[in-house]
Amino acid sequence: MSFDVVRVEQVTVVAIPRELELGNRDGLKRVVGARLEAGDRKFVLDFERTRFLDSSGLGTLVTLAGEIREAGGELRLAGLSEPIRTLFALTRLDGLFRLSRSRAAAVGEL
Amino acid sequence: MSPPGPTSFRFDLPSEPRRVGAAVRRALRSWARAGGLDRRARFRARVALGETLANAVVHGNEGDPSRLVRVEGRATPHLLRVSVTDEGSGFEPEGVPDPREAEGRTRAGGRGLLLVRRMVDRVRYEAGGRRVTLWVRGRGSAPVGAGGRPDR
Repeated sequence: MSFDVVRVEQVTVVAIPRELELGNRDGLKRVVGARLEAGDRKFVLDFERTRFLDSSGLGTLVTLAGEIREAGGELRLAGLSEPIRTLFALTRLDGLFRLSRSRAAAVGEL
Repeated sequence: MSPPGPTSFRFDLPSEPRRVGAAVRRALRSWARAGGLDRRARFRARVALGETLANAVVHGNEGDPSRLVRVEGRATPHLLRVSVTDEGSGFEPEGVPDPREAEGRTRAGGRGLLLVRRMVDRVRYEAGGRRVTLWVRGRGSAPVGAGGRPDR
């Protein structure tokens, strides 16, 4: 499962695949790390297609949020399904991230 | 076609993180054959079992592929029961800090046990934390505590 990346104006949008879990989270770290290295600072992670997320995926998002913030950047998460929002709420991560309804809304808000 | 009935499964998993997803799907297929899965039950079971297997592989057996994780389960239309046993040195679930506290929220790890507890109807730790048994209610079932023993 790959992570598709597109640039929309000044925003880097990464499409999260159907699952973000122990088996593929390092791929997301590499993709975002490379874009940060290249100078990108505004990020949207688009969960429109995502149906499953585990605690290692949640932990990866926490790590990436910290790295982006340290670099002076901004991050929004977009298109989270109701079950996945539940996981954010249960772990109280919903207050740590800025969530947007859709990819377009997130890009507009950055 | 015969109506769904109880199914059971038992297999050993080498301790490699990339194998966790397939092991979870195998258990869920067994429950689907027993007729117990709806979308909500599937999501809860998948999260709980995935976290438990990941803990056994990564923390219990320290990612050593020569050490095995045993997965045993029984599924009925109303209940999935799965036991996961690793070959590690165990742990005390009560000693794991709450990841929702201020300090824990910015840590990368530590959320797995919380998710397990919130997704299952019952969880039991045995053998010093090396064996974990989960119960997840299936389609149209009353929650555990509404009468009846969940471990049958």
